[in-house]
Amino acid sequence: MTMDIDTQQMLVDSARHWAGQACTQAERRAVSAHAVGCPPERWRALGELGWLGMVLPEEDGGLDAGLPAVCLLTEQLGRALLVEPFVSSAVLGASLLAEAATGELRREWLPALATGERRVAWMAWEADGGHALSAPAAVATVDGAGFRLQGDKGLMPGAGEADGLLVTAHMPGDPERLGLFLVEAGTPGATVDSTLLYDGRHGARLTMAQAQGRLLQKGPAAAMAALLERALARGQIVHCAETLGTAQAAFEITLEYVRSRKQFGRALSNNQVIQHRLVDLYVEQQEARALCLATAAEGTAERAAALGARVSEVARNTWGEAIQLHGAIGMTEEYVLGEYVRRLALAADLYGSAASHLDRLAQLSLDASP
Amino acid sequence: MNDYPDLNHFRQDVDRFLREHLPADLRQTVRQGQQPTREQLIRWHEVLAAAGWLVPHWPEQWGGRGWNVRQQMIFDEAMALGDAPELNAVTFDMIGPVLMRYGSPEQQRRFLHAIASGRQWWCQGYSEPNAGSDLASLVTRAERDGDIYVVNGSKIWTSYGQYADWMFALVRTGREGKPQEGISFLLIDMKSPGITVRPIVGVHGWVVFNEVFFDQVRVPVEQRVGEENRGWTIAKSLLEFERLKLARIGENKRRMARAREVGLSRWREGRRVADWPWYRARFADLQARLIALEANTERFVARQMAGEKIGPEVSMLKLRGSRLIQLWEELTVDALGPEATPLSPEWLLDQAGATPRDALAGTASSRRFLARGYTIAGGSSEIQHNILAKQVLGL
Repeated sequence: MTMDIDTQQMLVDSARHWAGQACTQAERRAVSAHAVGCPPERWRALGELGWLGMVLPEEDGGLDAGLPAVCLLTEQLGRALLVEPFVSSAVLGASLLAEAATGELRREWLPALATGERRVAWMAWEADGGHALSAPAAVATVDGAGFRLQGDKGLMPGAGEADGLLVTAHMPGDPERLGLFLVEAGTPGATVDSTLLYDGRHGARLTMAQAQGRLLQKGPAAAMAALLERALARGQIVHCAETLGTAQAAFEITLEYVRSRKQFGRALSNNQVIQHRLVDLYVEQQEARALCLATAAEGTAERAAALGARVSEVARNTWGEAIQLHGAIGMTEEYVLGEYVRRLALAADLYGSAASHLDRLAQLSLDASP
Repeated sequence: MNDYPDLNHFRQDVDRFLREHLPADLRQTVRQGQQPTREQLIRWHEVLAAAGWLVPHWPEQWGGRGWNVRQQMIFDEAMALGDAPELNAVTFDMIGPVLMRYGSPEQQRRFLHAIASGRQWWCQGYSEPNAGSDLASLVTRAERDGDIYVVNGSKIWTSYGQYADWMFALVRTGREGKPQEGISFLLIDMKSPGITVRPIVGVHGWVVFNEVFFDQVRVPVEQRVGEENRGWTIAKSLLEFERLKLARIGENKRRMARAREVGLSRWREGRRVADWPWYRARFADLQARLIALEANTERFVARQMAGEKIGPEVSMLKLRGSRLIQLWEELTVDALGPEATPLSPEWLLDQAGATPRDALAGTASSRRFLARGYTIAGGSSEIQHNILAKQVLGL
């Protein structure tokens, strides 16, 4: 299930090597310019590297590498500012499908996800941006032997041109029961509205007007929410690893800058006020990284909430301090820092804001009976 | 050596031990945030020593059990959450290990067993009125008179000097070369003629600090540790001991439990404090920081368990752990509101015969001030920042 340290190190090395060639600024700009930010041939290349099967079971063509290894890989992808929706499709979407799909549908989809021939996204957020896993707005109705879906889902990175979209909806005539459905690309009634995001990635919203969906799982709302929360937690942890990779890279760029930039006849980094601010940033990042890997190895609800809150704060502090310590050049689009700043600013809230994670942690600590 | 293969079982044993053997009066003193007396603390040391748990991190040769760092941390956390007092680090974590490493065989025989028995209290004579973080500028001098050093000068901020039997002190024995080069490390009997201890009452109402004056105090040369003028090396080595403990995970969890208890038991304007949005947001923010600190500490524990050097990066644990304690105390005071404001110094200092008011509220203000010491003593937060900037970031 889990990779040993040596294999993990090989994975990190190969990710670094790959990113050095395939994730240059020119490549990133070309991917951003693609209609949905995910050219199929590049996605299949990630499959050839084995990365798209990291969270999939071995019998389905995956590697079942374990979350700590997935985090170490994704941290490198975050450092390289990968544009493709790796976390959204290859972790969040793929792991939910792997957990929920059975039989023929499983045989049809999972090996194809691992190779990159197909791609999924889970439309986890509601149209209003909320994370109401146990109370979606969408409803299902019976249509012969199948189901039709009605309702909207909110913006999810990587959803554009995905071969399959995972959606939840209330089961027909029973608001207490939820179903998880697969909506295939091109299904009549399913409209995918793609948009370029502020950080150069792409996301999409989904509108379903009596769109056909294949039922994957159904059950009482609470039981279904538990399944969805497990999958969401995996995505959130790996998202944090990616964000921390980006934050560390932004920190290193800033460190290098204050060492070389001279004012008043000496490097900025010779000023104690600059040194202490950099230390604070570094310490926060290292703490959050330790928490991320610990949560990946052994997740609890408290840890996951704490991780979300800390990484949101680290992301926000990192981009803010990186700009301030650079000065005006840190605010330009052409200087390399700008890409990191944009990515971090979006990442801070993508899987819930710091405030929403703290709400959750407060519920766990203060509302539970002791 | 690990005499408990199952650490969960170990934790349960420590919890049970505390329930059965921590004296009720001391537990109450700690819980109420009052200052324990020397007599109370020595009695507790003896109970721990009898169980083999006073210096379990020491090697067996000196009365310890050779516990590894993970087991120690579990033990420390159980002690903190069980309302046991913090043990005097100067005695058990500093002078003991210094003597093991630098002491003469005679010094080791003379002091280590006495320390391990729990009956001998040590204080640290480092800071002086003009030498705080810049310790090397100290001026208390020791002049040779045959086999005797004659010590003159003063030390200040000497924690628990009023309880101490012995002091280890840095004194100036030479004026050549760099300031660090003329310093020696002496062991001084606090009962020596010429020593005056002046307790300094803190804003917290406790007597932690003391000023110690030396007037022609005679110290035998065999009470010098290491070579003359080479004391700085020993002083610096102290910074390497027990660095992981300085995350103060247990002490932070103790304060989190208290902040939670206050939030759940107090009401403001008809609403439980724990239901006010401001309290919830701050509590969760501090808890998230604590969870992160704990994960980060575990990283260093794993490194040490694997026999690797933990390096200067470990300074980040003290930096974060000490600050977090202050933030918990601030939250507790804010949650108590006006309940935390009355002052009763006699109640703080003299628990015998005092009527405990509310155990949570009575000393919250005192504790908030006590907590300020954590970011000053043992290398201030500014010094920790400097260490990280220079030695880790290479600035």
